[in-house]
Amino acid sequence: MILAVFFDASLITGKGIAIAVTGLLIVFAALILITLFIAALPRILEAVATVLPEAPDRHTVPDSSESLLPDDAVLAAIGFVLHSELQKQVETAGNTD
Amino acid sequence: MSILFEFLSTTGFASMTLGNLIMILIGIVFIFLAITKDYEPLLLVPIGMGAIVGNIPLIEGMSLSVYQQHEWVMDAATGQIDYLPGSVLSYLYFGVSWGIYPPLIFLGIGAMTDFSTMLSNPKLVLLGAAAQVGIFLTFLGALALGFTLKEAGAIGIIGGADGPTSIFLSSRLAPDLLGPIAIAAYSYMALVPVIQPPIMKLLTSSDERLIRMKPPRKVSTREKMIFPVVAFLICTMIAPGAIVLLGMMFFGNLLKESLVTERLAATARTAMIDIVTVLLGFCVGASTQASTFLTSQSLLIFGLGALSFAVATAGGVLFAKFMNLFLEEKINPLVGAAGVSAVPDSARVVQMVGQQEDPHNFLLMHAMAPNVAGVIGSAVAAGVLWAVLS
Repeated sequence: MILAVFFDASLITGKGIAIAVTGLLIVFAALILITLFIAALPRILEAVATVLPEAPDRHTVPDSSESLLPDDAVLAAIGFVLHSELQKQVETAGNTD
Repeated sequence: MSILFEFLSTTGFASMTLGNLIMILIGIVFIFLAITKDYEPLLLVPIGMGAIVGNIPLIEGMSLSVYQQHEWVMDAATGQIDYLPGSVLSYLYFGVSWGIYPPLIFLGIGAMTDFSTMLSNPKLVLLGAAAQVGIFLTFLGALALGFTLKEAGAIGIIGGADGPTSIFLSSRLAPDLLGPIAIAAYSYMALVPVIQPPIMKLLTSSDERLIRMKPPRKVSTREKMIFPVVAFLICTMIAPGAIVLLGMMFFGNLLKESLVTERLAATARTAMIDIVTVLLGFCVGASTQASTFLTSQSLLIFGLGALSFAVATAGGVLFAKFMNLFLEEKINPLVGAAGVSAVPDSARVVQMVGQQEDPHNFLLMHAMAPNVAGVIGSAVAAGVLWAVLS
């Protein structure tokens, strides 16, 4: 019944089903070609690398762990100050007792 | 006293219609869902507020609506041509009606997309193609319900689960239906966590949902740099209609992956896409005036939109199961549901449903591959429909 409705509609509008099938095939064709290209890409790059070796990357984004160094120093300083202050408070408390 | 009565007659209370009230309530529901349920808040808040703004009754003689555009009027007596400016909102709406905002959003999407998972497991790309069956079946459904070819094409693209693509194609093929189509596309995108899981569970067995996939391989920088250029060439040689959307998306991705234009990529994926999203969402919301929005056609579009999302999800899942018939390393069929291009929501849904079965199964990375392939697939489908139907 549902199919009958679709087929009737396609008859009325002329080329509905043809457009749908062709459209889906074109989408598949494009993505299948992309799939094939991606699958072949490592081999292509391997072949290219024998002629044109990959230079050390000039533009690599700096390692985020490097940027932690100043933060570590700051954290250590904060920790030291906290520790000193706590020590002072403990000593003061001890004196009053 | 007469001035007071005259003023009162111009207030919103005097000329409020039931339709306006309904649309204002819908706007409030959108905002409520965005805030309380966290459903696509970046889209639903602007759209909801826009719907409220767009449904305040208009005052005669004042240009306020998005539809009140500028005009050139010739005085019949003197022959003088006068310029009548449009409303402020109509100028902002220009970006929607002329399809300017969607490509800009695609630029931002490209600049934030990492194609690594797709490059590491190319067979998953096919799931992005399979999910596009939703577009073409909905196209047929719309034809069966009496829409014209162009209208059916614009409605069908809702199945691509891609708001900007839906807006772009409907602005080209059926500008009159742009409001309902955009609202349907964005509403269903927001409802991906509600629509998809029952279909995914219905079409898969518990054993299938437990399938674990190999972790993706490391992708080289060269691969990531070459991919956007070649993928653009492949897609647009086949479907030139996709040049605008895919050109901007792959351009954005090249900005990101080239590593020499990080500043441009950062702008495209942050400030620029945010500005365009605000304008697009608000204008689409403001275009939902009750008089043009609350029609039987809109209800049909909403029904077809829901159907297209369901069909697209089922298409992806079933195609994954079909592929498993031939593959040694099985794909978890849940991943197929991410072929609808609601990035990254449908991939998150895959992860969520997978973890309900096995809390230690991490499918998110795998689901991102068909997810971004779905974006490419829906843009190609839009290009095909535009080329064939315009």
